[in-house]
Order: sequence, then C-alpha cells, then structure tokens
Amino acid sequence: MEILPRPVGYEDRTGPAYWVDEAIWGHRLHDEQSPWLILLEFLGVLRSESLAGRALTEVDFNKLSYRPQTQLRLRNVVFNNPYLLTIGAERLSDDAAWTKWLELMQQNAGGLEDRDFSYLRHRFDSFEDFSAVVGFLQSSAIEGTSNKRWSSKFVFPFGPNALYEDAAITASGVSTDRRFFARTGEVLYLMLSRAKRAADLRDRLVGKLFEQPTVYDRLVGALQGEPQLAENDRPGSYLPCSAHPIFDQMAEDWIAILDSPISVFDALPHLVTITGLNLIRYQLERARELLDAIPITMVCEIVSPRKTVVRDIAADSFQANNALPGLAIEHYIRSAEKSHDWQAALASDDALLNAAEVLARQFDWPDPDELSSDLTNPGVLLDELVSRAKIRHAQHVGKVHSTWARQIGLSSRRSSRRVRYAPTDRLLKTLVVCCVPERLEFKDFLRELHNRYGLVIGDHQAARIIGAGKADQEDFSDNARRLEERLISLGLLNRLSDSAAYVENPFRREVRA
Amino acid sequence: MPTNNWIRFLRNYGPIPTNDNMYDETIQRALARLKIAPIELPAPHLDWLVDNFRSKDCLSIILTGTAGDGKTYHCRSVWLELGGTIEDWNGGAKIQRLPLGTRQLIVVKDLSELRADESKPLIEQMAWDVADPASPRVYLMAANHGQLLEKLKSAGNDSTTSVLVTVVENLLVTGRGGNDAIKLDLKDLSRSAAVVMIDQVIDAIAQHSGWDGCLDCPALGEGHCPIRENRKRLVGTTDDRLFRRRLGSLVEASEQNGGHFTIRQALSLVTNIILGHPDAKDGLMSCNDVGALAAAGSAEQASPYRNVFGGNLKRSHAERTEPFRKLQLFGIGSETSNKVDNVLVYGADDPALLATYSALVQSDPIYGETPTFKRAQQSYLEGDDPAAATRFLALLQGQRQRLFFTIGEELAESLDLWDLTVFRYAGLYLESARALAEKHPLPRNVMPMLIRGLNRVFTGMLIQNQDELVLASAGSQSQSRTSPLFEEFVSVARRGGEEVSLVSDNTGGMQLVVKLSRDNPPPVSLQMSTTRFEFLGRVAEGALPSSFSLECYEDFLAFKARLLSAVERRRVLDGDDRATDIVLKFIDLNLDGRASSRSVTVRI
Repeated sequence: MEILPRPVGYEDRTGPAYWVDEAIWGHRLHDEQSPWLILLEFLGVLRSESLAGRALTEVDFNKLSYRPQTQLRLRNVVFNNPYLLTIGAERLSDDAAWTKWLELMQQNAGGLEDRDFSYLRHRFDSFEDFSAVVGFLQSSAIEGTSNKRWSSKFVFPFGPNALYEDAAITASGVSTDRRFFARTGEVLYLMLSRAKRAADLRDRLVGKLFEQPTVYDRLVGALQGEPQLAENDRPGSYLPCSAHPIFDQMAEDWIAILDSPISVFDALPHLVTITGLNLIRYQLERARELLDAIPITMVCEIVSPRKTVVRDIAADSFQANNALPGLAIEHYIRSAEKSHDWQAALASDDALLNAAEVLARQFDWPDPDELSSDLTNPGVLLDELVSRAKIRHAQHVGKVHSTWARQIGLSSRRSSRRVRYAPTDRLLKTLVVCCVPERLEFKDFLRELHNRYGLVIGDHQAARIIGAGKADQEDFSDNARRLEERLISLGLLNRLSDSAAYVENPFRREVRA
Repeated sequence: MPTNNWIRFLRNYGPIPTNDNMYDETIQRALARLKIAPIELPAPHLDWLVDNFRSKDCLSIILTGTAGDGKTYHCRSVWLELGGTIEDWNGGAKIQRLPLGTRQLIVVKDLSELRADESKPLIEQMAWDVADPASPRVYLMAANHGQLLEKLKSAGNDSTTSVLVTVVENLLVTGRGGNDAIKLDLKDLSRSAAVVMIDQVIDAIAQHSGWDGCLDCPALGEGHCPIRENRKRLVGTTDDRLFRRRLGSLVEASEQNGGHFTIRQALSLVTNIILGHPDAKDGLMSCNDVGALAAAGSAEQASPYRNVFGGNLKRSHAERTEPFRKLQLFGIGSETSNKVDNVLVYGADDPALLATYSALVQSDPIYGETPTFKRAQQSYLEGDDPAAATRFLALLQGQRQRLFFTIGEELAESLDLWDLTVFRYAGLYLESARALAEKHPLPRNVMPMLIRGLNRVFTGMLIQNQDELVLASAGSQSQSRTSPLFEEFVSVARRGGEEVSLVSDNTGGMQLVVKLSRDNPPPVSLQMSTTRFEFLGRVAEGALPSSFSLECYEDFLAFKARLLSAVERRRVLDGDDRATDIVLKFIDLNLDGRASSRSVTVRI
C-alpha cells in the first residue's frame, strides 16, 4: 500500500482551507453525509462512470471526474410540491385541478428555466392518479422524515432515473454546496475501485441496478422526462491509499450481500449499514497506522437490563476510539518537525518565513505573505497550526465516528449516561448476512466478527481484557449468551442444546418453515 | 410415623439440589437396594429401533437430544430386546458389543463418557463402516447435541470422517442427511410428542406398586395425608382426569412453541406435584413431614395446582429450573381475568355468582375455600387491614392456578378459561390442532381470524378482509411499516388453484399452507406455533404487530417475502409480458375496512 501524492494542478477556490484531515483520510469524510447519502452519491458516480464505460475502474489514481444527474423536474414534482393536498381538498374538476397545479408550478418551481410541467398531464388518466403516484414516491423517500431543504431530499434509488446529486436551490439558481453530498460517496467509489474484487463487484452492481429497469424506475423516468445532467463535471476527490485491506473487506461484504437471493432493493439497506461500519473502521485504522498503536477493537455490549462491567468497558472502548483520529491529527502535523526541510528552515536566516513556507506546502497553512505578528517563531507557528487543525477537525471529521456509529446502529446511549458500542438488531442482521455463508457455529461467528471488524463480544475475543483483570470471563460469556438470545429472537440462530448453536443466514438456509 | 421407602426414593426425581437421579445407573442401583420395582418409562422409539436392527439393510443410528431425553434408557432397552443381558450392560464397559446375526452391533451408551483417545478411533472406524454397505458392523450411539458435534469435529480431518461430520450436521439441523451412500440415521429425542409421554409418566409414578407401602399408615386411614391427596387428584378418578388433561394441554402448547419437555423433566414435574410443599425440606414432603404439617395447619399449602408451577420452591430457583421455567411462561396465577376474579373475590357474597362460586371454590375444602382463604377474603372485602389485602392477593394467585385445572368443560367457554394464561388463544389452537389430526372440521372462527391477522401484518393497515389474503408490497424495501402497493388477492376458499388452509403436520402441530396454483410454483407453508397463532389472534383483534412480538413480526414479514416471490414466479410462468404502459395498483380502504385495489396507469 502506497500513499499517493496529492493531486496537483487542481485549483479550486472553494476547496479545503487546510490539507490535514484530507491528507490522512482523503477528500473527504464528512459527518453530515449520512451512510444512506454516501450510498446515493456513490450510485450517482457509478452511473456516470458506467455510461462512460469505466464503472469501478480507475484509469489513473485520483483523477476521478464525473457528471452527475440533477433530475430537477422530478424533484420539484415530488419534494417541492405542497399543492397536491390543498388542490385535492378543494374537490375541483379534473381539468380545473390540472390547470391550477400547472400554474402554481409555473410560478414556484425552483432551479428550472422551463417550468412547464404539462407533459405530465398526458401520462395520467386523472389528477387523482397523479396525486397517488407522487404520494407513493414521497412515502418511500430516503430518510423521508427529515426536515432538510427540499433539494436535499432523495427518492428511493429504484434505478438510474432516480439518481441525482444534492443541490442548494435558491432564487438565484442551482449551486452545489457539498453539504450533504460532501464527497464521501466519491471516496467510497475510489475505495471500491481499488479493491481486489472490484471487477466482480462491478458486474453485480451494474447488472442488478442499471441493467434490469424495474417498473418503479420507469415510473420515475415518466415523471422526470429526459434525464437532466449537471452543467459541469465534478473532479477533485482524493484517496491517499492505493490499496487497503479494508477496501477489500468492504468489497467482499458488498458481494456477499448482492449475492443473497433477495431483491436488490432489500439489499440496499444492508449495503448502507456495512459501508458505514467499514468507513468507521477505515478512519480508525488510518489513525492507528499513523500513531503505530495497538490494533483497533470495538468492545460491544449486547444490551442487558442490568448494568454490567461490559457496559463500562464498551463505553471506554468507544471513547478511546473516538479520540484516536484527533490524536492522529496532532501526530501527523508534528511529524513535520522531523523533516529535512523543516530542519533546514530552522537553520536558515529567515527561519520563520522558511518554516511557514514548509508548512504551507504540506498543509496549505499559513499564507507566508500574511503572517500574523504574534507568531514569533517556528515553534509557536507549529503549535498554532496544531490548534487550528484540531478545531477544524472537531467540527466535522472528528464527529464522523460518533455520528455514523449512531446512524448504523453500532453505538447507543440506551439506559446509560455514556455512549457505548451496542449493536442494534438491524446491524446484527446485516453482519449475519455478510459473515455467514449458509450456517456457521456460533463460536465461529464470534471469531469472524472479531477477525473482520474487530468486534469483541465473547470471552475468547476478550482474552486480553480478562487477562488484565478488568473483567471476569463470566461477564463476557454472559454477553455472548445475550447475543445468542437476541439472534434467536431475530430468527437467525438455531440452538440445538446448551452447547451447540448455529447462526443461520436467513436468506440462504433451507426453508424449514 | 411409619415411612414408605417408595416415597423416599421418589424424592430423588424431584427438583432437589443433589442430582444423583441424573445417572440412570445410580437409579438402577438404588431401586435394587430398596427393593422397589423399576419405574416403567415410555420408550416410544423402541419398536422402530429394534425393527431397524433386525432388518437386512439396517442403518447405524445416532440417538441425540438433551440431558434427560431418555437416550441411555432407549439404548438399554434395545440391548435387552435384541438379546443382550442386563449383567453385561451393568458391567460398566462404555462400549458394548453384541452379535446380531452376521453382523456385530456396537453400542455406545454415552459418547460424552469417552475420552478423546477412546472416541477418536471409534469415530474413524464408524466413518468407514457407515460408508461401506458390506461392513459387518453397525452402531447405536447415544450423545448430547453439543458433545456429538465436538467429538466428531475433533476426530480427524480425513475425507471419510469429514463426510460423516457433514452428514451428521445436516441430519441435526435440517433432518435430512443429503447423502444416500452413508448408511446412517439420527433420531433427535428432543423432538418427540410430549403429551402422550406426560400421561404415561403420570401413570408410571402414580400407579406404581410402591404406593401399597402406605396401607398400614394411620394418616391414610384418617384421610389427612396431603401426599396421598395430591396423588389421588393427579390420578384423576374424581374429576374425570380433568387435571391431567389440562396439564397435557399446557405441555402440548409448550412443545408446539419449541419448549420441549424431556422425560427427566416430566418425572421432576410429577414428583413435585405430588410432594411439593413450601415448608418441607428442599420443598418436597417426606412421610415424616406429614404429621408436623397437619398439626401446623399448613397442609393446604401443598396445593398440587400451585406445585405445577414450582410454587413450593424458592422463587429464583423455580424461575431457573426446568420444567417450571417453561410452565411459568404461561403466566398462570399472575394473569388476571375479570370473570374469574369476580367469582373468587365476590362469589361468596354476590347471589349472581354464588352458584359458580359454590361449584368451583366451596366444593373443594382442602385446596379451595379453606378457612385461611375464607378469613383472608372477608378481611379483604371489609377493607380495614392493608396487610390482609396483600395476603389475600397472594392467595388469589394460588386459586387462579387451581381453577385453571378444575374449571369444567361446560364452564370453560363462558369463563374464558385460557384468559387465565398469556396465551388467550391457546385453547383454540389446541382444539384446531386436534381437529386437524382427527380429520374433523376446524372451529368456525379460526380461519377468518388468521386471515384477518395476516392481512393486517402484510399491509400494515387495519383491514377487515377475511375471505382472501391481501398481498401487498412497499415498492422499495420489504421492511417498510406500511405496504400501500397491491400485488395480489389469494382466495382462501379453493378457487382456480388458489387455496389457504391449515394442515396437520403429523407431530401434533399445524402448518399454514398457501397454494397459488395447481402445480407450479409449489405451495408456501409456515409452521404455526402457539406463539404465532396467538400473535395472529391478537393482531386480528387490533393489537399492533411489533408491540406483541417482534420475533413473530419478522417471521411473518419473511413469510410475506416468500409469498411475493412465488407470486412473481407464477406471473412469469403465466407469461405476463411487460406492457409499454406502467400500471400501479394501490390499496384502497372502504368505509367498512375492506381493501380493494385501485389501478393507476402511467403512460410513457
């Protein structure tokens, strides 16, 4: 695995102000982009690259530049359309309803030059039918209950027609503020392109999502009309690692999910969850590599009605991992002190200016021409950079671990003051689908979870913790026992007797009804 | 006070801390020492096993199950039936050999007894023998599930042994070996019909010749012995075996729900019913206790009806000990039913309830309206003593438990007997299962209730349709809360190849079978356990699916997914081609709650 150089020659005045988090993890991971939205952004990139004949194929490292769809007509009809209910209540004749609606849209639709929606009239038998279909699309929207702006609401990805990028739409037009499609989907795309089994994954993704248009995709297409594309290409994403075991693991997980005999729509939520888990691990793992720390583990409490020692240990584990990326930031910046350039700058005549230039080249700060007067020497300069970088890190990248862990159901605050790792039913189900080919003995399942994702649940995996005297073997074996009970209640475990239990993949086991 | 050796011996089967009764051999020796005839326990698979070993192409058999299922007992019975002697058996060898015509039968009494160096060569040899049709050796092996897998997997990695391991694993998990070349079968004793077994165990204990030892006891003559009284009630001569039948129903309902009763647990239960008393040592009476308890006036606490649930044991002990843990899941005693509670509390005073009260409570002076109960009831009604209220409410628990086993068939319907349990529909469930097994028509309201429940789970809406199954989807993910898109109606009554029905599964339970066409695709079925039946009943009457049982809810959503796949396959087979227009069907609810489909066409 080599660390790739930063893409040069790309000047974007709206690009990042510093280049610290980006250098470690890529440009970029962003907490406000939830795992579902990461997947949607990814699908948009995949579609665009697929049309250009290079799906999941990176010709040159970090040169990704794609053109996403905008589908503004569709989005106006589904999410910028509060008129359906009011018109429906007025009980107008069909003709009058259409006329009124078309007029309202003509006045109020956003982001479009041509606001004529009359093409829809010929597609539906009645306004009521049209209302029902729009209602259906609204009710199946992704994270439909959020109160985000209408241009950041997303239709369920039924197919290529339903994909579009996030936008900020105001009276003055359409712009991309990269708030909810913050490039994490692009980073995911690069990761999967660099995985060993990228080709296998590509065949399945493109085959299942783009080459088998479903009824609902054609429906969305009927509302949109011809696809609308963004005005410009989107370049600029960056992933530092040319290869990484986590990229390969993620591709394996995706393939396992897509190979399950379930509809691709049912597979998507599982993809979202396992992607969230793998991205969290990626962030922690890169931090560990920089700090040369011990392997990442996540001690999970299977929620129990009473307070247990495992709950405290799981909370400690969460906290330690949560702080790791911040520590990596500081370490990374201070490692510049060891560089030859820095030493040379210190020895030079105009040490401060030269030191500032060394830092600016690597970290994009400071601007050597505008050095503030209270930065008196290189040491102070470095401290100032560390402090600013940490503040910036804490705003978004530093929240990635806690936010995504909560969103995928890995962490919880249930019955406790502190947040700890406590997997939900949904996450457990996804883990079973990924790890269990058909059936697996329970103790082997625990081992797999530890080997693949660093999850510590049972006493074997917690050997080090028990050896250090922080917990008894019984605490962790009770924890594992609770997991067995949870899996039984989810229909994922078949217990033959006290010591023999099999975890079964719900989609692959023989139907014994 | 004379003592009866038989009763002293019987205590060993109860839920006492020392578990000497665990070992079949220990019991055999104790029986011989105390000169008591052995207890004749049911061995339902004996005939099948013996026939197998006497036949020309006999298979090797592995008997598996949990502790107490009767594996060693069956092995010994087969041994004796095929000509082995009891002396050889008791000789102590872990692996016994018996000539069987041209072959040799190798019997392993308990695989867990063997050390690794003993089991490894045996398993390797067995792997060869079951794969070779001309082999002169056949095996009968008894092993717990966990031990079986562990010993097999650590026996070796060569291909022959691996084949054996795969076949055994398949047999354990799916019931089918998947490889006809391996002459092996597996019988899981934890999956046998339990109701018949409970009846036989009751007879084996309650009708044992050991009870004759009481004949010269003064307590028997005076009719003051709670042990004898409990035994009498269990035998069932005075109540037409009602107590036994109700107990059998509870066991059956538990079995159909995955709560299996082993023979050992049945013995423990029956012993506890007869001997249980909270003040006795370990909660089980002995002959010496009887006099003291009668003198203290606490004989009424030996209520056999309370003992069924381990009421004589310490609460934490009963919650963790089988079979009481399983029986406590029914919540009998703590579940309150207005009808029954009214009778118990006000029956003595209220003229409208007096007849029922008299028939149900006053008729039983030993465990029903005892002086203690009467006093507590009066204090409670007068309301002046708060401590009395607590005492009375505790006594009510015991009375509810008693009533569950004593309310006669005529009153059971009007008093809603099963409302005394958490499985309000279990009575209907058992009635249906029995009707199916005996090929009688189902109770009238069963299918409409099940269909209504299914429809509500499938659509997420309170629809009233009960003549057809409404298959609905959400378009996007199948785990969505509501499913507004209509896929198909499936007729319940047989029509055009479609049919929805309950079918007996030949082990006392039933399956819900949905036929979509006469041949292809094949029918989709779902095992109807007690809990799933209860779930559908509650949803049909208005409960929210995920609030009753999340597990059931998931089960039914998975069932729906299978049905939708089958419908899709049928469409493909019927040659539904893709029209150029898109047609979506939505579910509309009429004012009376009936669902109908509304088509919306979208022209491209």
